[in-house]
Amino acid sequence: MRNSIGVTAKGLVELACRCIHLSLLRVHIRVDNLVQAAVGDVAPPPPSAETASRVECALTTLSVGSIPIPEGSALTIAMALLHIFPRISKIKYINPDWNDVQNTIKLSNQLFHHIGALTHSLSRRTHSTMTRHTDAPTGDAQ
Amino acid sequence: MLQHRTLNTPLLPGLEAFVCHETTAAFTPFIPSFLSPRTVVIDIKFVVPTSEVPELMVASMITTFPTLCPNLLEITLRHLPKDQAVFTAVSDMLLACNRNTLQRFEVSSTLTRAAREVLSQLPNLRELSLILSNTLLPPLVLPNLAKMEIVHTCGHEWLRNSNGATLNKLTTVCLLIFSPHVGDFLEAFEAFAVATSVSTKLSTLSIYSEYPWDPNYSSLLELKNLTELQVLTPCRVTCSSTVNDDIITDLARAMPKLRILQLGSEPCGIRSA
Repeated sequence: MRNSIGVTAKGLVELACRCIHLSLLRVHIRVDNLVQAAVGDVAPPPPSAETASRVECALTTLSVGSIPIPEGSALTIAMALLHIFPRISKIKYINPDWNDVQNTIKLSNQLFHHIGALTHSLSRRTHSTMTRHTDAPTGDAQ
Repeated sequence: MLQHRTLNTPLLPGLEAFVCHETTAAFTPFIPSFLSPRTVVIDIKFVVPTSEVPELMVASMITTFPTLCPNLLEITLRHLPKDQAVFTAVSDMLLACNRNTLQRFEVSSTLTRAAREVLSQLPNLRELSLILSNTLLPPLVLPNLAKMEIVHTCGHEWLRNSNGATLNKLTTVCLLIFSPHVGDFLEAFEAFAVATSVSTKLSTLSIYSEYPWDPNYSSLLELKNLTELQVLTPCRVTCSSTVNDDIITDLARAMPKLRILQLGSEPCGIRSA
């Protein structure tokens, strides 16, 4: 017999750290534990020696079916999932409560994309300005 | 036009691949008209429900394939009517085919014992799909087989028959179980995979059970090169997609190349505890 049912944040972290190519996952998640882990009610899973230098997991799609979620916890769940699976973009669900989680993840991804583009643009402009200053001919060269 | 053509003259003498999906009873008798010695691929899916397709007509058509197309490379026959005459015709067709050229044999049919003997020794077969019902399969000596789909309507005794089996190139296995006696299926599959060295090369394993089942996932830990693992079984009393941290950690440690992991059906509304 199984000890408990459902995968907790600890199990998901193990999976994300060890299977970095994972793109699609469908298991029963213990959402209550995910919420508790996100708000600090349970200790975060300690990274083992093998998984300490973590490479981002490629997971983009999580299938959650009809898993119930606690009322008002969509944002917390979305943040917890983004923390474990930074590239997640799609939640496949039957329970419509997950729509809010999906929307939050989408919004977050758009925001990160926007910030990334801004940072890249700023970095290029800064680099370009610095290069102009460095390459500018000085009076001594003449 | 089909009814007025000259008899024994193929309509399209240069046709290499005949592909016809949603094949109806009305069209079935005309299929041989399209086939010729140049045809090397036959891919037919009958309309569902198959009860609308006359069995004897289908059986009669199937038996013409080896004569009309002596160099067949690929045969796909899906949604065949479930009838003994059809199963016998499929078996007779296989027995009459050129065994050295056949690369794909995908039929939704059982086979006679003689046909199973032939099937298990096809030297160039790459893709195989068939139904096993209350039958044993001889040891599979298929050195070029890469993809295998077996539909079980009975037990899985064939998995215990691995002595002398050669499956050096098998990378994809799909097993569909339509029997309530699933039992220790994963244990039996693991033993088969290890005995045939399939365990070191297998990249995709999909298992679908029509009946609720509590798989022992620890039997899969030897399949270290899996990139896709799907074990689909319906929810009844408990959620079939329920695994715990121990199981998921063991799988993650054993299979670092996983890209797709699906355990159970869509998670149901059960409250986790």
